[in-house]
Amino acid sequence: MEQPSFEQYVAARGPSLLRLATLLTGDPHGAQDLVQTALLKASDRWRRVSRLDHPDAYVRKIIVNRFVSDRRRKSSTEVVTTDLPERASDDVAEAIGARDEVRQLLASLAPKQRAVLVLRYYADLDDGAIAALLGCGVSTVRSQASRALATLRERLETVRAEDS
Amino acid sequence: MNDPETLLRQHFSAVAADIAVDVDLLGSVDGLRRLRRRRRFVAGGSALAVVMIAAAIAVPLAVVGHHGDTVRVTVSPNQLVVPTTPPPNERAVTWAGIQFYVPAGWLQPLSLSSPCALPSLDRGVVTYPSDTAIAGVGCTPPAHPVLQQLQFGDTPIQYTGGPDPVLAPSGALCPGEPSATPQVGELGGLSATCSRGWSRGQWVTTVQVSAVASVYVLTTNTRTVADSILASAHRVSVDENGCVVAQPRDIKTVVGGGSGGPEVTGQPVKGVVCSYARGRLLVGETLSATQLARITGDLNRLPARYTPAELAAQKVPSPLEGGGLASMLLTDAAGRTQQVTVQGLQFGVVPGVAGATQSTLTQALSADLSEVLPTGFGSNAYQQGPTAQLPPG
Repeated sequence: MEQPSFEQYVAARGPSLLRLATLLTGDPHGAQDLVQTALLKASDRWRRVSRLDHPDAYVRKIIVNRFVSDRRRKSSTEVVTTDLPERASDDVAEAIGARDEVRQLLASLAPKQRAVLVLRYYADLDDGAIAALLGCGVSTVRSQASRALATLRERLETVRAEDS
Repeated sequence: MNDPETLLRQHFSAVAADIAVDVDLLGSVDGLRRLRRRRRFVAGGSALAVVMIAAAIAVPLAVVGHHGDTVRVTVSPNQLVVPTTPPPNERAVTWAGIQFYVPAGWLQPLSLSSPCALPSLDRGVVTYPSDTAIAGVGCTPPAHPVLQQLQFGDTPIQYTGGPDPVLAPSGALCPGEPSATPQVGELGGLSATCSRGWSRGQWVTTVQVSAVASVYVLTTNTRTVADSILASAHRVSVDENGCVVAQPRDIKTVVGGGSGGPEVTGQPVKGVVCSYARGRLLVGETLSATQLARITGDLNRLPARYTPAELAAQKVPSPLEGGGLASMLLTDAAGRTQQVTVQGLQFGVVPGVAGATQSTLTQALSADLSEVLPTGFGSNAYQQGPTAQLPPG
């Protein structure tokens, strides 16, 4: 089978990678930086990467690892607030508000936990694949997911209680 | 809905559908690759220079030590860092004595205008041939830290001092022929310097209006947008009381899907932050498209109480009186404009924003602005000076 050129790969998979990165970062610009950096790295080794069964997995791994390590570095400068904005009244605004609420809840999670949730519930990867991407064990993935969901559940209940 | 797993699936699926993916990734990767190549080239040149200078010192010493014939080695550091062959489609220009290459397309439709030593940007500017169009690239006074470097392609050139370039009435500049009035370009009767460059993966368009010390910077992901902004920058107007930036029409950034969801589709395309104290610009800080999107996302949640025309009629408190005041004019894709004033470490919003939402906005803005304003903003002159009055809210 003919290997795709780097340009073909970017054209075909770029949008998907951007979506993944945007969900990880919650920020389209940060996501673009992330994807660009990952693609740059992949392009350096493209002849080898293109021969892999799943070049996507390779690029995704760069994106996810970079996201986790970047967030770790930035954690000393970013302050996550648990205070949510007031909610608007009409339906559209309410939907937007709800979405923003989830976004903020996700942003409050540790980067690795967030990555696990995105890979599991957006990319639909099983725990084994997630573990391979993150370079950790399956049990770690499960515990991270479990902790993240518990945190979300708890915060959602708090928000709902405050709303009512 | 309280089930987090269901909520996450719905959230991811809804958000993913809204994410704008029409981004020129290949172009960006190519830009990064070129930037890296140049950095390596410069690093290699520097290392080579060190080695050769060391050799120039060590070899004669060694020779002297052996009481033999003297060997003279002449090394010019400049020779080591100047590439001998220009990359294809790039044109060599010099800035501050350093030669570098600019993609040929960069200079179109701009033309180099200097009778001194073409092609050279030393103490010169790139100007539009048309009288009405704005100028291209110029250096900036040291008072503006944001603008102390020039961007040519992906090569940042640090301004290293010396007099600011002054354009002679003929449109050209020669050392020794200074003009009393900078005529780099004209925006609404005020002189201005505009530039567009590639920096950290984004196109940066800068318009600096020196008469009122205002700076307008926009970052975009596409050169087309940067070009359009540059081309339409003559629509920018500046009020003596603050910064008023006209909407460059027909421009839409490609960056989409802000933090707030569909309401930011279309994206803000401009932003400016100026801070004043006693009539002097203290800080001119830029907002990136991301920061704009975030702040505008916050603004979008507010009811639009003011039309742009109504807002334009609002007088910004004079920065010439009182201690310090920063003002920020934001316009979203729908044309809604809000003036936000920042004073000291407190934030206020112009009248028309309901008090109930003002606290939310203040909270959101304080988080946003703390990221974009430089360290020290709000201190010194702001705290010591007399307090300027915010508009009645």
